[in-house]
Amino acid sequence: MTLSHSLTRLLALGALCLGLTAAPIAAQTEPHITFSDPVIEPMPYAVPDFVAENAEAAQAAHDLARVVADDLTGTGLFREIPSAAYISGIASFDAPIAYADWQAINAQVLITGAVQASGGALSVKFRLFDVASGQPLGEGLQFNGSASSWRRMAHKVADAAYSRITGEGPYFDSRVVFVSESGPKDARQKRLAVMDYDGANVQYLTDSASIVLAPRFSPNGDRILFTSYATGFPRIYVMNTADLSTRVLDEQPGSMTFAPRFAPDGRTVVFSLERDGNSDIYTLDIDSGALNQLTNAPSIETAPSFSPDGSQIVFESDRSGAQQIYVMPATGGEPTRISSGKGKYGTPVWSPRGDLIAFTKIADGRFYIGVIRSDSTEERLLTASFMDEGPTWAPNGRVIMFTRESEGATGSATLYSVDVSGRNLHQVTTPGPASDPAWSPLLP
Amino acid sequence: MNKGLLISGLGHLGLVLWALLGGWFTWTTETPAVQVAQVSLITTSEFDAMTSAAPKVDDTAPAPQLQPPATKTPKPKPRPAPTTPKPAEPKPAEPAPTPDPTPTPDAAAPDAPEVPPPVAPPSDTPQPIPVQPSEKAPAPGAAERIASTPVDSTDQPKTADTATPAQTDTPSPDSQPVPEDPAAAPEKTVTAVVPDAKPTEDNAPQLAPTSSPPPPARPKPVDTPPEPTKTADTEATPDPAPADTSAADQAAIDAALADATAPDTAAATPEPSQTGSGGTGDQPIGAALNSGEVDNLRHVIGPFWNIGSLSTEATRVTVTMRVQVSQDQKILSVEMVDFTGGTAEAAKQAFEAAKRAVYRGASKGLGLPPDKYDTWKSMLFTFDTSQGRLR
Repeated sequence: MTLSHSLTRLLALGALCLGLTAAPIAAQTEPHITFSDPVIEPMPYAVPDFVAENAEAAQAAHDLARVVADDLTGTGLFREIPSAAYISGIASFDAPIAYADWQAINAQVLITGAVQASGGALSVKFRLFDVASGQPLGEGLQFNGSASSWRRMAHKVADAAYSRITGEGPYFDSRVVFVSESGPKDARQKRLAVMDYDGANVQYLTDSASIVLAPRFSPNGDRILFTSYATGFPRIYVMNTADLSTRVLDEQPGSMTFAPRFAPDGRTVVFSLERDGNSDIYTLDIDSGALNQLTNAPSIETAPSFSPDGSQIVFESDRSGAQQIYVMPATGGEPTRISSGKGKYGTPVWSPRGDLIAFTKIADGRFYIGVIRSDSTEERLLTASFMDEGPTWAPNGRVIMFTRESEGATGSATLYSVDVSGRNLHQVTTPGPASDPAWSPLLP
Repeated sequence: MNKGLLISGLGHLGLVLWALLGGWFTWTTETPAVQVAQVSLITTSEFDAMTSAAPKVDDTAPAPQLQPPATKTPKPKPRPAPTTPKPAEPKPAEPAPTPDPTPTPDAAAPDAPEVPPPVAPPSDTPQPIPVQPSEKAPAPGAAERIASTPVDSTDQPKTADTATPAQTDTPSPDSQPVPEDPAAAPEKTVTAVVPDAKPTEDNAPQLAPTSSPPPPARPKPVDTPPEPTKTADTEATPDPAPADTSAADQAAIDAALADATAPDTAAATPEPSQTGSGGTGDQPIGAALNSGEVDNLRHVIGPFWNIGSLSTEATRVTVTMRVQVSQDQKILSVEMVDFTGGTAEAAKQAFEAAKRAVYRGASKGLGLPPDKYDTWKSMLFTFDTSQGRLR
């Protein structure tokens, strides 16, 4: 035993004592509190009239703010605080924000803007503010355009605010092509029309000389596919949206073609072709005219829709005896059934996000709009009525529009939209009865 | 008191003496000598001779079998087989769907004036719209491009005296305006929630999507739904392993020690970070918050945590943030320290919603005990959306 060894042991003992003493202190950390019961309700926001930077812009400044508010409130995710509750206003675009005044009326987000008009041109700029923290939400943005396109500029502002707050992709600046209906129910006249997503700016694309069905936008919105009975039999046509020129997509003597839809590349069309009483799914290369049969079954295969990546096709088939939804490779092959609930399933449409497939379901005498994952899990029904059918997805994959037909001899078709969560079901106002909506991609 | 002090003093003295003097009796510096054993070498023939004298092993005896472990091993349940659709049933020859070839003209909607105008005819006036460089495809109806430009700095002043002017874009000559038809463009969008129509059994229509002709009637073979989808409860779940008694005992001992040493109730002990990324063990912490104080904080902030405006992805994100609080219970800073369950972008949205809740809750005071400022001047908040998820 040496002195050094004794010292070593003494030091070790001291260290042990120190460690025991310090351990309780080191174990204490900051208080850690978990919140696990969030509220789910629309976010209150304020959007005062935009500031008119010259007299010519006065009306536009008011109208722009109203369209922005309509867009945001229409999502069901936001609740506008009426201007009557405002304590202070926005005197100028660059004026400081009196956050306390907006906090006092419970606004969580404030949108301010300014408009300048000169001749036929319009300039709109806006900012978002997080009222609670008293800070701007991201950068302000400015849009320049023609005065006649002020609604699109308002949609752009609303899209930017919506995406900044929610994290979802934009969809307000988009259009919907649909079938405008008129006349009695047993002699209904149908023609194609296009409108803003909210029902504004309706413009007719065809006359009512022949029945038209199932319009579908191309991936970049430059063309519209639709089915027309102009020859007495269903046939697919393609329309150029720039000049409204129309041509038959493909002539297959002795057959009928219907239910067309573009592939994501915009060069291929998938559709149903009926020949000798049997319907199968085909693809057509628009440039080369090459036809490719994807299914070959004695049952009815129809309503095909590509997945966003173009690798798969979802369609409906009654090969099992009732209409059900199947998924197959885009090149054809053995399909996999994904619908398994009670009833019949049809008109499947793949979400732009790729995560869900919307469908029409009929069970127990009622129609439903629902969604399901492509692996056949998580089926959810979003709506139910006498007759809901034909869903179409908004460009951001968050909202679904569809046709709702009312009951009885005087019943008519109307367009509705619903959030993918199943909330915020509301009617989209159109000039008259309308059906078969198809959402465009986001406008440039 | 004195007795305890005396015992403690004697104990410590004993420890110190043992540390200093114990080595005189027990400490040994010499490493134990290596024990050497003498081994004699034998040849192979000698080894064979030795082994031949040993009794032979019975080759006919059954070899010992490997026994399975005594504990129960969960049987893996077979996964549902992928559904293979049956070949299509023979379809009877039926007439093709016959459309109505002669639609009756609608007197109320004269066709001639309805020749559709171009959706958005190009304008001949130059349009001062910035154009995004990569775009080439025209929009439906030749919609004009409306590009955004930053207005000005994001550093909008919190105070009233540092407003910044907005920038103005120069007109872009290459974009064409699209005049909109005011007559055909109702500006007011009316939305109204309409209740569902009541269904009736006798007039329920058949599924006949307008996207395709109605399918002809056909025999109804037996419907073969797909195999049940794999769900969580169909997964093979191994039986829980028998509890390790020693570990359980140790845990009980640890818990008892923690209870005994805690200055207040269990809830008052600051919780360790669940994510591992929080916690500042090097910071001195005062008296811990008790359960009542923690619950009060939850009630102050929780009602303001609104995820109703979040994206579907952001509603699946759990965020943890560090909140710095001033002595007068104002929020000094909020920073996200961790997140799980989504992308960074979704976490950002979820964090902002949680941050709004913190600021709004704190606007009327957090209700924290002033004497424990050292404890709550920095806290970790975790906002877990798992119980309020949007569907």
